[in-house]
Amino acid sequence: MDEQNRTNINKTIKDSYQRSSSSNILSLQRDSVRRSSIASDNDETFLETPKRQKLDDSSNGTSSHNIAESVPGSPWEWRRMRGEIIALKTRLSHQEVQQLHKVRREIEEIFQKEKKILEIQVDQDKQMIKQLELRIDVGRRTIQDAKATQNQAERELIQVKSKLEQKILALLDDNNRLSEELRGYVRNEGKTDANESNKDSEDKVAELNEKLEASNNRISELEEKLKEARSVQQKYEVQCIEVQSLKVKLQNFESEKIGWEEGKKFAQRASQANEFERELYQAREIIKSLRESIKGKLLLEEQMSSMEHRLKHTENLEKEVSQLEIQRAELLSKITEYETIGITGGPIAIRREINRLQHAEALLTADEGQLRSRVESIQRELINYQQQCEDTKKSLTETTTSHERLTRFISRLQKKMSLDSYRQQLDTYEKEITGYQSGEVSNIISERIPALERAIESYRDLVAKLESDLEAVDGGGQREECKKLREEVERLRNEFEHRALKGDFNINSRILHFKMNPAAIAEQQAEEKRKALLEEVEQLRTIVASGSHTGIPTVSSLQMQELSELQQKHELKITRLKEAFKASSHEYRQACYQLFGWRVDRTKESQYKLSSQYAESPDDYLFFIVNEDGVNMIETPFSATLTTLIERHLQRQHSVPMFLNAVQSELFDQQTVLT
Amino acid sequence: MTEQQQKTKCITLKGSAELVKQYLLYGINNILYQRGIYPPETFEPAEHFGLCILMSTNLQIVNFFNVVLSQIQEWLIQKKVRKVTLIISNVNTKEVLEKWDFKIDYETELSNGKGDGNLSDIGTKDIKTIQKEIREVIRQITGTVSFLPLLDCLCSFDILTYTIPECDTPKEWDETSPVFIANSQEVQLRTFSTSLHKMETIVSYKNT
Repeated sequence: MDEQNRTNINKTIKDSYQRSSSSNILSLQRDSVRRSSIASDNDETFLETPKRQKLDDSSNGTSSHNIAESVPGSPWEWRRMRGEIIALKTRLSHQEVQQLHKVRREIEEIFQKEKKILEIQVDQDKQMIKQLELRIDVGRRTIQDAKATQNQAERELIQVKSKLEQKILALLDDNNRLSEELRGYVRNEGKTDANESNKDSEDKVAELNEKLEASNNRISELEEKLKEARSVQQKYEVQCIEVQSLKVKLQNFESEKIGWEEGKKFAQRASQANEFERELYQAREIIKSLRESIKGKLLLEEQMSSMEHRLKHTENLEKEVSQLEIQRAELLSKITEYETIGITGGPIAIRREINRLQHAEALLTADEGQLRSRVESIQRELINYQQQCEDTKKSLTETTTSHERLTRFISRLQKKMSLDSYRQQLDTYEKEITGYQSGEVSNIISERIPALERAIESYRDLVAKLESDLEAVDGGGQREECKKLREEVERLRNEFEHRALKGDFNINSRILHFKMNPAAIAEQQAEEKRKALLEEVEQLRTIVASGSHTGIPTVSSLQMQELSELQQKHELKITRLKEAFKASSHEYRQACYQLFGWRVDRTKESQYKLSSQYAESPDDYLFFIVNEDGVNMIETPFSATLTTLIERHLQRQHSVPMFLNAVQSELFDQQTVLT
Repeated sequence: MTEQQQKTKCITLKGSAELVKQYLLYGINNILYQRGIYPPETFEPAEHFGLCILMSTNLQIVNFFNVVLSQIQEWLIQKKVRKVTLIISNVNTKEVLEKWDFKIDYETELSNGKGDGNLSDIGTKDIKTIQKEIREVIRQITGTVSFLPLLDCLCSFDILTYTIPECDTPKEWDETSPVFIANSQEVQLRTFSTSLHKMETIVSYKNT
C-alpha cells in the first residue's frame, strides 16, 4: 500500500508538473495568437488555438479524473490533489479570460485607428466639396451678371426698336399725308386755271420735289439707321446665342465635375471598402473564434461546476459514510454491550426487560414509600429517644453530683475518724510522755515510733477495707438499680407527657360525647347526599347503557335546582338591567329633547327620525341615515318645504348641525309669530 | 354565681365549674368563628369577660352547647371530667384536622384525694384575676389563626369528654374512641386557674 501510494504521489506530482507546463505552453500559444491577431494575417492558427486549448483542458480534466479514480490513497493526499486541480483549473480559466480580453481590446484599438483615418479623409473630402461649391457659386454669380447685362441690352434693344418703329410710323403717316396732300394739290391744280396753275404748279412741284428729295433723304437716313439697328440686333442675337452656349458649356462642366468627383469618391470608397471588407471578415472570424472559445469556456465552467457539485456531493457522501460508520461502530459497541449484558433478543427483549425493570421499580418505589414511612416513624421514635436520652443525662448529672456529695461526705467521715483515733493516740502518748518524762525518753520514743507507725498502717488498711465495704454495701447493685429505675421513670414520664399532649389519654378514662353532635349530623348528611348522588349516577348509567336519549336529558335534581336558581337570578338581573336601561335612556332622550329641541327616534339601525319641539304638526319630521359614509338626509314631506335651507346649509356649507339649527330657529320664529 | 358576688372574694367549686363552662362556651364559639367552621354571618358579637366574642346563632349549635356544657359542668362539680376535646374534622373523609384539648386539673385533688363532688371546696382567687386569665387565653385562641393551617374543606366539630372510668353514660350520650392526628404539631396555650380548676389549653393540628 505504501509503495503504491508513493508511486501514486509521484504520478500526481508529474501530472501536475505536466499540467503546469502545458498551461505555460498554452500561454505561449496565446501570445502567438495575440501577435497574429495584431498582424491579422494568420487566421487559421488563430481559429485553431482555442480548440486545441479546449482539447488540452478536457484531456487534462479526464487525466486528473482518472488519477483521482485510480488513487484511493489517503484522504489527505486526495484533498491535496483535488485542491491542486481546482487551483490549476481556476488559473487556467483566469488566463483564458484575460487573453480573450486582451485580444478584444487590441481589435478595438485597430478599429478605432482606422476609424480615425477614415474620419480624416472624410473631413478632407468635405473641404474639397466646399471649395468646389464656392467655385460653382462664383460661376453662378458671373452667369447671373451676364444675364442681367443681357436683359438690360434686350430692354435697350426693345426700347430702340419701339422708338424706331414709332419714328417709322410717324414717317409713314407723314408720307401718307403728304401723298394725299399731293393728290389734293394735283386735283386742285386740274380744277383751277391752267395758267395760274402752271406757274403755281411749277413752283409747287419744285417745292414738292425738294420736299420729296428731303423726305427721300430722310427715308434713306432712316433706312440706314434701321440697317444699323438690325445689325445691332443681329449682334445681340449672336451674343445671346453665345451666352446660351456658354451656359450649356458651364452646365456640362459642372456635371462633368460632379461626375468626376463622384467617381473619385467611388474609387476611394471602393478601395477602402475592400480593406474594410477584409477587416470585417477578419474581425468576424476573430469574433467567431472568440465566441467559440467563450462557448468552450462556458462548457468548461459548466463542467467545472458539475465537477464541483459532484465533488461536494461525494464529500458529503464521504462525510455521511464516515458518520454512518461511526454510528455503526457506536451501535455495534452498544449491541456488544447489550450482548455482554446478556440481552440478545433485540429491542423486544429489551422492552420486556424494561417493563420488568419498571415493574420492579414500581415495586421498589412502593417499598421505598413504605420504608420512608417507616423511616419517618423511626425518626419520630428517635426524637423521642433523644429526649429520653437528654432526660437520662440530666438524671445522670444529678446522680453524679449526689455521688460526689456522698464521696465528700465519706472523706469527711474518714478524716473525722482518723482524727478521733489520732486524738486517742495523742492522749495515750501524752499519758506515756507524762509517765516516761523522767527517764530514757529518747529510747522509748525510738522504740515506740515504729510500733506506732505499724499501728497507723494497720488502721489505714482498716479504713480502706471499711471504705470498700461501704461501697460494696452502699453502691454496687443497689445504686445501679436505682439509676436504671430512675432512667426508666424519666423515660416513661416523657412518653406519658408526650402521649398526653398528643391526646392519648388512654389511662383510666372513658371518652364520652353527645350522640347528636354537629360532626355526626354533618357526616350523616354528607353520607345521605353521597348515597343520593350514587343512586342518581346509577340511574344515569342505566339510562346511558339503555341508550335512550329520546327523553329529556335527565339532569340531576340538584343540578336542575341549581340551574333553575341560576336562571331565575339571571332573569331577575336582566329585567332589572332592562328597567334601568329604559329609565336612563328615557331620561337621556328627555334631556336631549329639552336641551336641543329635537326628539330623536331611532326607527331602524342607523336611521334617525328627528321631530322638532316647535314643529307645527307631529308629521313635520326629518329623516336621517347616519353610517360610516356620514350623515345623509332622506326626503320627507317636511323637508320638501325647506329647500332654501337645504341648499344653503347642506349643499353649500355641508353642515348638518347648522341646518338643524336653522330649521329650529325658523320654526321657532314661525311659532312665536303665530302666537 | 351568687356566691361569686359575695364580698369575701372567694370562689366555690360550683362557681369555678360555671366559669370553666363559660370559658369552654366562649372559647369554642371563638374557635368555630375564627376557624371558619360555620359561615361568619351565623355569628353575632357578644361581650363577655370584657371581650367582644362572636357567638353562633345556629339553633342546633346553641342547643348542642346547652346540653353538652351543662353536662360537663355537672361533671366538673363531681370532678369526673379530666379533659374536654374539641375536634374539627373533614365531613367527607371524617379525617380529624384539628384538635383542641382543654385539660382540667383539680387543684384540690392533692389534698382531697379522689374528689367526690365536695361542695365545701372553696378557692381563694379573685374573680377579676380569673377573668383576666380567661381573657388572655381567649385572645391567644384568636391569635392562633395566624399559624394554623387553612381549612379548605367542609368541616364539622365534635366535643369529646374524657371522664373517669367510673362515670355513667348519660342518656343520648355515647362512648367513643380517642382521636389522634397523625403527624401532628402541638401548641400549648396559656393556662388559667380558678384555684379549684386548672385549665390547660392545647391545640393540635395536622403538620403539613
